[in-house]
Parts: sequence; structure tokens; C-alpha cells
Amino acid sequence: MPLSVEIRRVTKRFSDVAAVNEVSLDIRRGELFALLGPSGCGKTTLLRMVGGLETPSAGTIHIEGIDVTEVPPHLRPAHMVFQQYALFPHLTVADNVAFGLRYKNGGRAGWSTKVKEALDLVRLAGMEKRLPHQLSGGQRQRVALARALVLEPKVLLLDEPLAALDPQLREEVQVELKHLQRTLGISFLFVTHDREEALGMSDRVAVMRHGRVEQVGTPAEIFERPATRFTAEFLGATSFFTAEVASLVDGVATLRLPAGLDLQVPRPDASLRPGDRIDFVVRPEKLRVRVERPAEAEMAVVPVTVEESIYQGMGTTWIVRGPAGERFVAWEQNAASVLDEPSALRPGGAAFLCWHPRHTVVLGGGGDA
Amino acid sequence: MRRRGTWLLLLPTWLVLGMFFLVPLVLTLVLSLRQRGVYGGVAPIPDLGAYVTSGSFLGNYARSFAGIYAGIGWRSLWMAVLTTALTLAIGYPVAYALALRAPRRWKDLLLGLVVVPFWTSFLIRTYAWMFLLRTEGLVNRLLLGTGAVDRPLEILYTELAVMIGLVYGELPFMILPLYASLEKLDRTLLEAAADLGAGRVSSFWRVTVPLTAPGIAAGIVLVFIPSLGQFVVSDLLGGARSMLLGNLIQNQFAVARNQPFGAALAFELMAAVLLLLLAYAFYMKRKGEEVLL
Amino acid sequence: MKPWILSAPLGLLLLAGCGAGEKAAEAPKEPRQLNIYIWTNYLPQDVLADFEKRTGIKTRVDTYDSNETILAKLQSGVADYDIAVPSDYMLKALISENLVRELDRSRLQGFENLDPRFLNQKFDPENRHSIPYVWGTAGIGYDTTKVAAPIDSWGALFDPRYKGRILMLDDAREAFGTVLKLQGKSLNETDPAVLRQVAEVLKKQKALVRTYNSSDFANLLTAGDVDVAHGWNGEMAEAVASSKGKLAYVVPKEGGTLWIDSVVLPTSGRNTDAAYEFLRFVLEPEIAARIVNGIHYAGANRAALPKIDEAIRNDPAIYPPQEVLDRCELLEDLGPTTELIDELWTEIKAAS
Ligand SMILES: Nc1ncnc2c1ncn2[C@@H]1O[C@H](COP(=O)(O)OP(=O)(O)OP(=O)(O)O)[C@@H](O)[C@H]1O
Ligand SMILES: [Mg+2]
Repeated sequence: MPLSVEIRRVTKRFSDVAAVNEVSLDIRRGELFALLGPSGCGKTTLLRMVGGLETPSAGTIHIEGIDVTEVPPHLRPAHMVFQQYALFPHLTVADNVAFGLRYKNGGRAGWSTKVKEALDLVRLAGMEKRLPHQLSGGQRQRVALARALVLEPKVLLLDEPLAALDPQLREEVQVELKHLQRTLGISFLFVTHDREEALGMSDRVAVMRHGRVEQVGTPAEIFERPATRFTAEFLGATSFFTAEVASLVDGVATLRLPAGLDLQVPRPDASLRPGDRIDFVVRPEKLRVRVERPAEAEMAVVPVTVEESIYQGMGTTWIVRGPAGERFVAWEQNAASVLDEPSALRPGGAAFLCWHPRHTVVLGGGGDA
Repeated sequence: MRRRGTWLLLLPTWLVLGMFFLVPLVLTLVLSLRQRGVYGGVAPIPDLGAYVTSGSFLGNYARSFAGIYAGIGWRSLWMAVLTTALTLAIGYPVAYALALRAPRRWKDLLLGLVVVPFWTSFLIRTYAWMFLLRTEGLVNRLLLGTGAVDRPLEILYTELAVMIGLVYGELPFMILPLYASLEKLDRTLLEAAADLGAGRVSSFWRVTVPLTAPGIAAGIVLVFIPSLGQFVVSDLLGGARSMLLGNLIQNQFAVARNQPFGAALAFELMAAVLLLLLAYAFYMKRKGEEVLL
Repeated sequence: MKPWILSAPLGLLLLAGCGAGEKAAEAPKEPRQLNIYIWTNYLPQDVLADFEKRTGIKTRVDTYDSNETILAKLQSGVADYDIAVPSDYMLKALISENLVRELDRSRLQGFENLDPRFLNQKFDPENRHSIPYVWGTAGIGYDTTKVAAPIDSWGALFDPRYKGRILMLDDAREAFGTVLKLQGKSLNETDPAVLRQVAEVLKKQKALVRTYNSSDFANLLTAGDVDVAHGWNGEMAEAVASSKGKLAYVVPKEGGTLWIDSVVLPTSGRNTDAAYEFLRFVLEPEIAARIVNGIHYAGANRAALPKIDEAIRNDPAIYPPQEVLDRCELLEDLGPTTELIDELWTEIKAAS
């Protein structure tokens, strides 16, 4: 099955700065693919190159198996939904949607049906005669969608499609977009810097950093198995540990923490060698803070001092310090009401940070964030 | 209560408008209804009743529609239309390049160059054109020197020279409002048009032009009105041969000393301008744009 | 027409030029002011500077290039000129419109220096309102290398051979004068039928005329923009003298205009004392001679004659021989006919 979009070693330089640096990505047909990363990492630039609004400095881009690297935007089977929607303010909703139709083959005759279908698809029937400034933010976004979809693109490109919407509306639109994408069966490539959005909507995510792709995977993969410290941090993990590989026996690695604690970790990274110094991370919701040392023998335990607790309703965040002053963050769901069962932990008091060894994620290189 | 307060707040505006606009207007109107004296000034009216009933009070207006003067009116109108069209045709690409194509660090400099001529009086700049265009002027010497022509072109003191002077003088007034509206133009709209399939030409006519229409309208008004009343250029570059409405009016006050006739002509010109401004305000209102002028 | 436009910047320039040096020297005294309204090229810069230096009076100079402009300006009531220099026929009109003051002869030391030939003229008998300043003729200046034979007739201005190379004075009376003289009539013709017919001739002539200009005619001839130029003798003489024989000036055989420009004190002026100082100043033979040397128009001051440059004194274009003067005629005020001339001139200028 041919790929929807193939990006091969694409670089984009603005004067001396490489906004996108040797990026290669495959987007499959019918896939909802997210580009995730902090501001300025090159997401928009990459998206615009796929759309043809920027020309790569190096590398090639194929859409549906055809090299489009040098093809102007209007000849590509990809259309764009701009961040601020870029609706033509002087045209009605219907005229906005019909804007691109005249450049398509086929007569004027079919236009009104197509416009009507597109507006029905985004549930805007009856709004044909309005001008963009007479619409709400959500309605405007749907006009922008209809305007692109009416041209029947193979790939829809969306730049921060939810950023301009109210928080309440965002969740609703997320669901809607996902639904739309499933209905149409075309691929969506969208840009976001919001990790919830990327996790919640997409089939696969590419995490970007400084113009490079840091990791590609399903939402669960990048969330549970971040490959680098950057990805881990960007997805909300902040408890990092350093250790030495003490031994490797039958797929179980023994990691030795500086405090002299040993830790048995299953499924270790294949490239580990005894004597390596490694970094690993444990996600906050996988960490527990206890007053008593836990009874289970297989639990990993580090003695810590409680620094602060932050009550957040659904859960509580604990900030603790390790033996060498390292900072760790744990998050625990308040399964029981804290009014019924107040915690015995007090800031300044001694405690134990513990987790199940299989939640230990050994990080690869590039962890210099 | 509230209404009276607003009225009081607007009082200074009304005073200024009254003093600088209404009073002169009324004076002009009154003057235009009288007749000149032998050496100039106004002739006394011996019998007001007879003056009014005989229709003499409209004599100047009647005269202004006589063939020769109506001809000047039409020609002035035509010259103003032509000036406006030419400044638009030249000014739009210039403003476009300035707003959308020029590198950021050049922009201020280039925009400054558009405004620089304002540092010198228009009169002096018009004299400079005389030196360029005259028989043994720079343009002719250049053309003769390069062998482009074998006899000097007679440009000075022709309609062409007047047109050059008018277009030159009014061009900045076209470029600046166009630039302002092009600068405001959201560039992603052009990208959106390109993404939707529009080529450069198509996206220019379907997006850029409609969205800069307020700037075009402002430029047209700013250029058309002064061109209609222009007299310096036609005098200096036209060799006082081809009169425009502005020359005729100026001439009536400064040389021919027929102030009432000049006032009637001036009043007609003001009425035309006022109509144009009203049309402009109406248009901008309908577009929901602010009326800035 | 031009003076209106011209006068403002020129006046400013003069003011700036004169004011700068003076200010520091005599700061405390309230400087006296003199507003002068005069033809273009009529007052040499150094003479004006000397007047300021000697009297401590600050001057402001505005210029015009037609008599009709003076009348319009003084009639408007907004001008406050202390000195003006109208020509003969216009002086008469200004007197009858009460726009100029009667002069106090006891304050005019030097009056006796004037040439009696220019006193007691019809336009101001007994010179109760004016003192003659300079005089001259109107004629034709031309480029001898561009014309077939020496020009001696007003007909040259109507000769299709010079189409597009002709300059006419932007001046109603002078323009009418060319046709009237060609037809053997008086410059002061008042028959409306004749004047209308003259206007038709001038309208037709328009197709041949490159430009109407009264302030720059000699320069345009020198610069080669025109070949045949209607003009006044002083500036023409200057151009001819510096053209090394290329240019010539002639008072046509049909006869031309003789004109006398006189200094008057407009009634609207407020600095009468300063104005009298100026009159006494220009009556001094020394000063009168410097003015003639500077502007190349013949002066009306007899006592100044020996001090005038030899070349100027002997230039027939500036001091024409008697037989030329005999052919010339003074323009006179036409009274009620003025209105008709104004109207016809407007029509001529408006015609396309
Ligand atoms: N036209 C341009 N000229 C010069 N530099 C540019 C241009 N466009 C982008 N850049 C630079 O390239 C880098 C990547 O920009 P890009 O817009 O792709 O970031 P982004 O990931 O979309 O960020 P954001 O989340 O803030 O939108 C930035 O450093 C930006 O400053
Ligand atoms: Mg972006």
C-alpha cells in the first residue's frame, strides 16, 4: 500500500538557521498524524513544505507516490486549514467554500451541490449567506475545513486547528475532527504543541525538537516509552535517575543507583552492556510516596525527604528530594477523600519513593535537554 | 441632559467647522450671486427686487456653463480622471512591491523615498520638471546624446508635460493609502488562495484588490480632488496655454478681477468635491470601514 | 499669473537672506518694516541690502508680472504693501479707485533729479501720486540663427513658420497691442467690435504659441525654448548683450508700447515713513544709476545718467533713439472698456 506522504531527509534553512533539519517521515493512508513539539521547533515549516507554501532547501516530498517537491501548492492533492483559518473576509461562507472550485476541472454546474455537501459535512447548512465576521470561532473553523475538503484532497493539513478555540469547545472539535477523518478516510497531518491534543486525537505522533524528529510512535508508545529525556519531559515526566548497569541476566538488568540500591528491570534496552552508565525515567503517576518502606520485595525504593505537596482535587502532586538532593515528582490519585484519610506525610519529613521496576524506562541518547 | 452634554462637547468642533468651512462657503456663495465692477470688486445693486426677479443673480452660473467654460470644466474633469487612473496604475504596483515584496530592512528607506519630495515645496519640484523637460533640458540632452532622437522633443508647455507634472505630484497621495491597506493585508489570505488553486493573477484580482478597495477608494479621492483644482502645474508646465478649472478660478481672482464669476466657479467646484466625498463616505460606511480623511 | 505663486517663496528667500545678518547687530530696537510689491527683476539685491543697512528698515519683497495683478491684490483689501510700481494705465486706474496715496512733495528730496520728459503725464498730471521709476518699450526678441531674415514686424508673432516657437507676454493689454498695431490702430482702441475681432485673431494665434509668460521671457529665449519672444526691452537687452550676437531685440516698424513704471504708496500700506525713506533713496542719482545698471531698464532719473554704465547708456535696446520712441504709444486706462478686455482675455486664455 503506497504511503500518503513520504518526507525524505527534508531540510529547510532560513538564512543560516535550519528550521527543519533532515527530517524523514512516512504518513500512511487514512492516518491521523500529529506533529508535536514546543514553539519554534519547525512544525509549521514542515507542514507548509508538505502543502507547497515553502520549498525545501534539501530533500524530497512525495504525496500519493508522486514527487511534489517542486510542484506549486495548487497542483498538490493536499490542502491546508490555516491556524487563524484565513477565511476571505469579503466573501460569504458559500463563496469562501466555492473559492477553489473554479480551478478544478469540471464545470460551474456542480459547484452549488459540492458547496452544499461540504457545508452539510461540517454542519453549517443555512449559513451560506453569512460573512466570516458574522460567525463564531468554531463555525469559522468549520468553514475553513469545508473550503479545503470541497476540493477532495488526499491529505488535509491542519496548523494548530484547535489553538484559536475556547477550551470548552476544543474537546468537542477534537472528537468531531476525528470523526470527520474516519468518515472521509483521507489522511490528516496536523500540527500541535499540546500533548493532550496529540495523544487524544492522533493515530501516530512525531515529536519534534530543534527541527529534528525526536521520536515517532503511537500515542501510548511515546507516552509510556519515551526514547529520550526530551520526549519524556515534553510529555510530563520529570523524575530522572542515573544508574550503572551492574549485570544482565536472562533479559533482566540489575541497575545500581548511586545510593547503593539495586533495581531489577525487565525488558532492558538491547544495547545495554554491564558497566554502562545510564539514565532512566519513571512517570509521576507510576511513583508512590510512602511513610513506611513497602513490604513487597520486588518494589524499587529510594529514601527521600518530602519537600512539598500540591493538592489538585483529583490527585496530589508530591515533590521530594533524593539522597543526593535530586528532585523527583510523584502524582497520586486521590482514590479516597483526603478528608476521610488524611496523609501522614509532612513537608520536611522522611519518606520512601517507590515504583514497580517494570515502569522504569531506560533513556537513549539526546537526553541533554 | 445627556444630549445637551454631547452638544456642548461638540461645540469646539462646530466652531472650527463654522469658521473655516461654513462661513467661507456662505461668503463665496453670496459673492457668486453678484456682478463685478468696472475695475473689479463688486458692482452695487441699485434695485435688489429687480436684480432677483430678472435672474441676474444667477448670471455667473449661467456664464459658467457657456461653451468655452464648460469645455474647461470637462477638460479639467478628464485630466483629473486621467491623473487618477495613471497614479493608480503606477502607484499600485509600487505600493504592492513596497508592502509585500520589499525586504523588511529596506522598507522604511523606500517608504521614506516616497515621502522625501514633500520636504521641498511643490513649486520648486515643478520648476525642476521645467528644467528637465525644456528644449535644451536634461531629458532632451540625454535623448540626443544617446541618439534616441535626432531633434529635441517639445515636451515642456504641452498637455503631456501637464500630465507628467500632475501624475508626479499626486503619486505619493496614491501610494501612501494603498501602501497602508496593502500592509494591513493578511498575507496568509494570499497563501490560502494559492493553496486553493489560485495563480498570482487570479489571487490578485479575487483577494488583493477587493481587500484593498478601501485604500484604492481613499487614494482615488485624495488624488482626484486636488487634480481637479490644480493650477500650478498647468500654469508652469503647460505654459499658461491650456487652462484648467483651477487656473480659470485663480485667474478670475488674480488677473481678470471678476471675483463674483470666480466665486461661482469655485462654488461649483466645491459642490462637485462635496458630492464625491459624500459618495466616498457612503461607500466606506457600507463596507463597514472607518472613514478616514 | 505666476507672481502669485512665485511671490511667497521668493519673498521668504529674500527675507531669510536679509534677515540673518541684521538680527544680531541691532537686537534691541523694534525693526521697522517696509513691504514692497514690485515687478520681477526690478530691484537689484545689493541695492535692497544697502537700503536695509543704511536705514535699519527690514524689507519684504513680493513680485508680480502683470498690472492686473497689482489691481486685484490692492483691491482685495488684504494686501498691506507700502510700495508698489504700476505702469501708466494701471496707475490711472489705481488713482481713480483711490488705492494710492497723494504724495507730500516736501518729503521728496531729490525729486528735481527726475527727467521732465517723464513727468506730468496724462496718467498722473503734476505727479501728485507717483514718481517715475523706469521706462521702456515692448517689442520682439528673437534668435537670429533661427529666423530667415531679421524681424521687423509684429507679424512675426503670427507667422505659422514659427509655430510652437513663439512666446507671448501673459498680459492682456500688451497682447491686444500687437494686433492693434499690426492693424494700424491705437493701443487704446475702445470700440468693442474691434476688440472682439482682435480677440479672435489672438485665439487663432494660440495654436502657434508655445507659452504665455511675463516673468521669464528672456530666459526662455536664451535657453532655446522659444525662438521669437514678445517682451519688454530691459530683460531682452540683457539677454541680447550676453548672447554674443545670437539674439536681437526690435521694436517693430508698426510701433510698440512705450511704458513708464512709477513708484506709488498704496493706501493700505501702514509704514508711510519708511516708504518715504525708500522714495528718497531711489531718487538719489547714485542709487538710481545702480538700479539701471542692475536691471537694464532705462531710468527716469536724469541726474543718474552720467553714472550709468557706458554700455547700457549706449544700448539702443535700452535707450532707444528718438525715431523709435516716436513710433511708440503709451497705454492708457480704458475706463469701462477694462471689463471687456478682462473678459476677452479670459476667453482667449480659456480657448483650447
Ligand atoms: N519565513 C521565515 N523566515 C525566517 N525564519 C523563519 C521563517 N519561518 C519560520 N522561521 C523560523 O524557523 C523556526 C521554526 O518555525 P516554525 O514556524 O516552523 O515553528 P513552529 O514549530 O510552528 O512554532 P510555533 O509552535 O510557535 O508555531 C523558528 O525558529 C522560526 O523563527
Ligand atoms: Mg507554528
